[in-house]
Amino acid sequence: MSGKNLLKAIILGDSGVGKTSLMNQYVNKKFSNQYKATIGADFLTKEVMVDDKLITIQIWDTAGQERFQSLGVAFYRGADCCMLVYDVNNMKSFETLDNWRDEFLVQASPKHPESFPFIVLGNKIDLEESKRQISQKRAMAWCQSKGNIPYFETSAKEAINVEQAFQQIARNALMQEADVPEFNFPPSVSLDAEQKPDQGDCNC
Amino acid sequence: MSGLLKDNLKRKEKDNESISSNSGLSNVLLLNVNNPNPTLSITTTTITNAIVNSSSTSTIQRSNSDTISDIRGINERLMNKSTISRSSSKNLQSSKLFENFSLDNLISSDIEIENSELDSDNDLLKIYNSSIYDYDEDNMSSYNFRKKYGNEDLSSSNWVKHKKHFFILSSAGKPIYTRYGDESKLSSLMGVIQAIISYYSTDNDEISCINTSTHKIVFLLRNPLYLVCVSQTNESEEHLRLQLLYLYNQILFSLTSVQLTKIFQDRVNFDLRNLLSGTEIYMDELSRKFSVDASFMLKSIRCLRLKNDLRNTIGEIMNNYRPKNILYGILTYNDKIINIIRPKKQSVHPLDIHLILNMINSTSFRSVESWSPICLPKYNSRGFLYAYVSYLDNIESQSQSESEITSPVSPTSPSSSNSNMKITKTDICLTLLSPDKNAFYYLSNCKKKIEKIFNKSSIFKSISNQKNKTELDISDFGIPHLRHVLYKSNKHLQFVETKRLSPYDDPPSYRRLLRSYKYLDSKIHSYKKNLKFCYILGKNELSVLWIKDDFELYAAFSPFISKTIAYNDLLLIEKWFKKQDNLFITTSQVF
Ligand SMILES: Nc1nc2c(ncn2[C@@H]2O[C@H](COP(=O)(O)OP(=O)(O)O)[C@@H](O)[C@H]2O)c(=O)[nH]1
Ligand SMILES: [Mg+2]
Repeated sequence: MSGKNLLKAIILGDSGVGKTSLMNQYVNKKFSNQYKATIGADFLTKEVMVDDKLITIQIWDTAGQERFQSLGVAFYRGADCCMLVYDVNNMKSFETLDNWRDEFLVQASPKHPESFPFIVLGNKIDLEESKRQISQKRAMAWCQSKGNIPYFETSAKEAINVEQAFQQIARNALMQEADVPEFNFPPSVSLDAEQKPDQGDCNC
Repeated sequence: MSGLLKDNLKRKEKDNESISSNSGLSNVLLLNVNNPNPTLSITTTTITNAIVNSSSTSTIQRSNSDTISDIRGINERLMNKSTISRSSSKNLQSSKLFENFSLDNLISSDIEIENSELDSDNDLLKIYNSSIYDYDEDNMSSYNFRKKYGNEDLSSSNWVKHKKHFFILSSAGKPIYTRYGDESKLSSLMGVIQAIISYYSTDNDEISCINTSTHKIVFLLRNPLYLVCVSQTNESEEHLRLQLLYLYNQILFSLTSVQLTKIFQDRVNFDLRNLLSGTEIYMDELSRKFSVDASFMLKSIRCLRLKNDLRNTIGEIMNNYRPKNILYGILTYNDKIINIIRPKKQSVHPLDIHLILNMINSTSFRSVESWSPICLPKYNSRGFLYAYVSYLDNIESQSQSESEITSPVSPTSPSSSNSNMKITKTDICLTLLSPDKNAFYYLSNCKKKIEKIFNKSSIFKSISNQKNKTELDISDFGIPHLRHVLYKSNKHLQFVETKRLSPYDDPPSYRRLLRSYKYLDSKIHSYKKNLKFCYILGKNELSVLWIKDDFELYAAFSPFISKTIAYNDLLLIEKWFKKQDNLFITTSQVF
């Protein structure tokens, strides 16, 4: 196990679109109908095999409410990829994708905003077709317009495409890493929120 | 009316001599709602009469609400409701009777009052009529309020039927929260509430409660917020106001008082729902728990029963490996506290702990470590703290290689490549509160340390070995007919209660039991003369409350046992509690 292949992923989207449920499905293969609250940020690590490589993904699910924006900065920074989630049965959650993307770019301020690896998930496709408000076509058009963002239609409830989406995000982030010129960044001076967990490194 | 009264009185005397002829008087009144016997008001007047030694029965007004409920009830009514003049001598006489009340009097007094006129104004009958307001809380899972009742509004017949509503509005009259329905559809109601409140505030007065024959409407005005409860549950005004206070604190928990004040200073008509979105679940949960969790009325902390040395070992580990610069470290097992570490100068406020527990228990699934800015209103309503919350892993080495136990395994990945380890999430949750918003990774590391030491010292195993003893069991007391016991230590502000066995294993019955406890509590505390003991007999149980300086003891017995037996049993129960050393956190872990 090497600590080197550590990816930081952020999940964003309106409250209620199923972010927590997607993570729970991905990590525990479970779904519950319980409405549970994330009022700050939830943190999760998961080890995955991507092309014979063992990767540890750190996933941050932030509540994204207005009052936590100051908290957001610390968590967005240093992200390797960002997953935008909306609910295909909820128009508003689709319309706010733009805001989520913009806000992420502002707060995380990645080196290359144009090519930063996003991924879009249209969740809750298990619900009946009549409830659906955003067609796959429309969603894909939006993704296209934002620089060909990969798009997945998922259901946290029925475990549709969940595994695939998270695999994709790991893959994209790794590709991103490969694009970076071959030198290691010197350790950052401001060690505020970026301090990665390191076994036995606790001054308590 | 008086003629009727006298007639009835005579009849009653024939029926049951003991009541009208008993001059020894009751200091304790037993209310029995068991057998239907339509002589309620007569009985009432008889007793009232007896107490004041007045011969003029006929001057006492018949009032259905004059059901004798308990000692204090009578006294109150004597002074307030009946037309007996409030001459000081009579008041003296009547209060004297209550002064020398003690547990011993319970035995000597032998009056039983039977009444059971089914009457909608009768508090107690409502308390015992269990079917009356259980409908709204049972058919829903704890997390489904919003969905289930989201589309109800003022015009839907179901909406009015809910037994306890909570409303929160801004002082500008904008809806902020409703327990049932969609608050934006209730703006007209919120407007009315605001109008009522301002009507009184123009006189520099503050409305606090409206009593109708069916409803109690309680107000809590905390500018810029108004909180209102509309209840048919017969809980006392004080209890309902306390519940409003919890809801208010829950809002501060998310916003701080500083933010709240500032927002409304800048914009009086601000729609606070924008800022509170996502936290409604906490208020829904609180509203629900008020009726099923005794911690709120007791304003004290529910403890896990644990051997003292084990509890102390756990506390010492937490303390030794605690992160720098934290306020509290709290270890919980479901809704119970195992131990708390804190700075020497800071105390722990039960009201804050309840909010923290509410957050932990309605938080996302257990594999996550969560990080939330929160405000503890009792500790400091003005600033945020950051709460790190994580359930702990039990790490078992499955093979013989025990030395490998320290190998670095990411605890959040149960599918770890290291096949020697079996990692399972426990129900034990660690919460650390820090003032530093960037401390997440640091606290996460400290948690791993503590988790490791817990595993090394087999703490989880020790706790689970005690599993069947971590809850009080009614059989521990060896007292037949005893059904439920709740014991609060006033010194520690902690309490324990027995496992909810039959007949309290279903929510409606348990809620009913809690209501009777609340009733006893409100009566005993609102009685000015330092009352120590109180009980009610209902068709379901005999519930008692005994208060001493250092404890409050609530208990429920079978309704068929005599109070003499119950009294003796209480003494035994108290003795039993005095001998225990595994119920409460008695050694505080301070740093
Ligand atoms: N039918 C359906 N419901 C879902 C799905 N994902 C989430 N939900 C439900 O949507 C609600 C909100 O989900 P949650 O994960 O808490 O959303 P979050 O606020 O984005 O974290 C919950 O009641 C979930 O059970 C899905 O794929 N299908
Ligand atoms: Mg969530």
